[in-house]
Amino acid sequence: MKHIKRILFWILVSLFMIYVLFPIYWLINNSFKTEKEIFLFNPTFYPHEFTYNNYRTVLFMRAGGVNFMAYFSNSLIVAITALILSIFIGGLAAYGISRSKSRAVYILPLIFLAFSLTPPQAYVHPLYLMMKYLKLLDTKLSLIIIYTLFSLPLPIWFLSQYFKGIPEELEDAARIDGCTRLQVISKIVLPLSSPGISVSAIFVFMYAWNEFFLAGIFTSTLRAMTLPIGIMNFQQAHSISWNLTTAASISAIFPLVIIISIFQRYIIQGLTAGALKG
Amino acid sequence: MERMFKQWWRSDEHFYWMLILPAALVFVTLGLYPLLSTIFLSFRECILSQPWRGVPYVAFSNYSYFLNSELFWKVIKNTIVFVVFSVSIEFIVGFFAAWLLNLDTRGKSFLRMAILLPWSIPIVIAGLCFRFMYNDIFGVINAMLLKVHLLKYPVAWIGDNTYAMGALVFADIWKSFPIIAFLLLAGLQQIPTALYEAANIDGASPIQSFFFITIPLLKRTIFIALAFRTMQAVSFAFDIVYSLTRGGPGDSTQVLVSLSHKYSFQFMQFGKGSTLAILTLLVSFIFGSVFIILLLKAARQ
Repeated sequence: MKHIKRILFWILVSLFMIYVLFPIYWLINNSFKTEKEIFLFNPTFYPHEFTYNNYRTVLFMRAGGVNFMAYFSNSLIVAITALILSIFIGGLAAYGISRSKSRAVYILPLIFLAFSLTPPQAYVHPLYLMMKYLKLLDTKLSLIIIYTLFSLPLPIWFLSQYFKGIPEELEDAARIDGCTRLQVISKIVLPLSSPGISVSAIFVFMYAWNEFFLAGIFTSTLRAMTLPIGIMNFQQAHSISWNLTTAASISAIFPLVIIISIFQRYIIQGLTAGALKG
Repeated sequence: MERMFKQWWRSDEHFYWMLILPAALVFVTLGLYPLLSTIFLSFRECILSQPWRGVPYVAFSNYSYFLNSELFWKVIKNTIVFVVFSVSIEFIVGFFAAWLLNLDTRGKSFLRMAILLPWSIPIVIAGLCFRFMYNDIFGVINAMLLKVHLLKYPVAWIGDNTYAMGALVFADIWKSFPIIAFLLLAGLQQIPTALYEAANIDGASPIQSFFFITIPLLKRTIFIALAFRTMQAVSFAFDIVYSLTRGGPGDSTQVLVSLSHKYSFQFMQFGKGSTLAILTLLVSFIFGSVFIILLLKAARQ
């Protein structure tokens, strides 16, 4: 009886794993197929004619305004700059919030959390007009500014909880020993909270790397277009080249997979910790 | 003056306020101000392609335009169907995943990695992937269903009015169940294992301990997770809808956010787009507040 239960359990788990992993596997599988093999009426479950050419074509494509290298570098520049700004501004605010005794400050993280659940459509029209007025449309700067704003709730919510876990006595002791307030932050708080800061940095990076709606509105050319938009436009223009679209998708996912496989334990801790305090 | 500033600065509380200031400034100029001016725009006509018309005040005519249009009510219905079905099924799948993650089984880190994957990839890539798999000619889903004789002939999952919403919900479940799983996992980890051991000694079956220990102790987390996910599903459905069906066929998968995008950035009618954005905000608050009221009730007990 116990044996049967165990077997049933593992069957259930394997079915679930197939469900979870199949779409990703399907992308990988098709990214290595030839164009001919993609369109078989009975799709093949592994590439019979294995080829790397899709990746080569996609990564070095320079035709018809498509340039995945440019999307890649735009995405990287935008995501990293937004990450730095968001963690810096948000981290300082989170520290202030966690240490302040004021009642009004206490509800700030909740306001930011509520903000992060509202549709971006409710902000985008004036922001678009603003960026148009400032002649910032279709620049990386506009995306950086906007991603910093929309990702700000993450570090504020997450780090303000994290900083509360650092005993204030440590800081008081450092102050008595002659540290200034900023030294307390850089020498005591920062080193102690580096896991929390890295997790929120990963979240902000992933937000900026994956964001689609705003990127589609604020960018229109290679100058600033990010990967999700690039891939979407490519698919619309070459709607049958699924071998190339899947190769491009896998290339875009690749950095994320590296990040989550290194930090998976911290990411899950971060996700659950954020939920707990809510 | 300088002395006054120095004195003001010396107070710890003021120092903390100064740290909050940059974030508050960003939030006010790029968050609060745009929100207020979206409300302002929703009472005006603003057509970007016809700048000579200016932005005349039209009172509630944008609102009455939508409230009297059949399309709007269809879109509201779609939004509700989308949110209710995807969130409730996500909740079941997410609960199962959270339970798995909380077990001490072999291959735990593989499990964790697998469940993180759908969450971590861009929504548009998930949408495109499902678009590819749903294809009626070379899609894998049709091929598999035909092979096991569940279908007699291929179905255009996203090209057919009757199936498109189901296909959209199915794709969204795959993409979004992990977030519910992680929220519930947080709650599950809080429940002391001693409770289950005690129940086991008293002769309770696993099913009994699930309904009499897990569910009551998890209530708070469940309501938080549902409030969070329903609001998200209303507010952020655009990516999956756009990449999978683009609202079609014939508006059968059009939801509030995608309709707003259509008015604003295809028709360039910012006034009507803003109106829809504000209405979306209201719908998402209604969904959220249902669970927040339930949460407060549960907390009072």
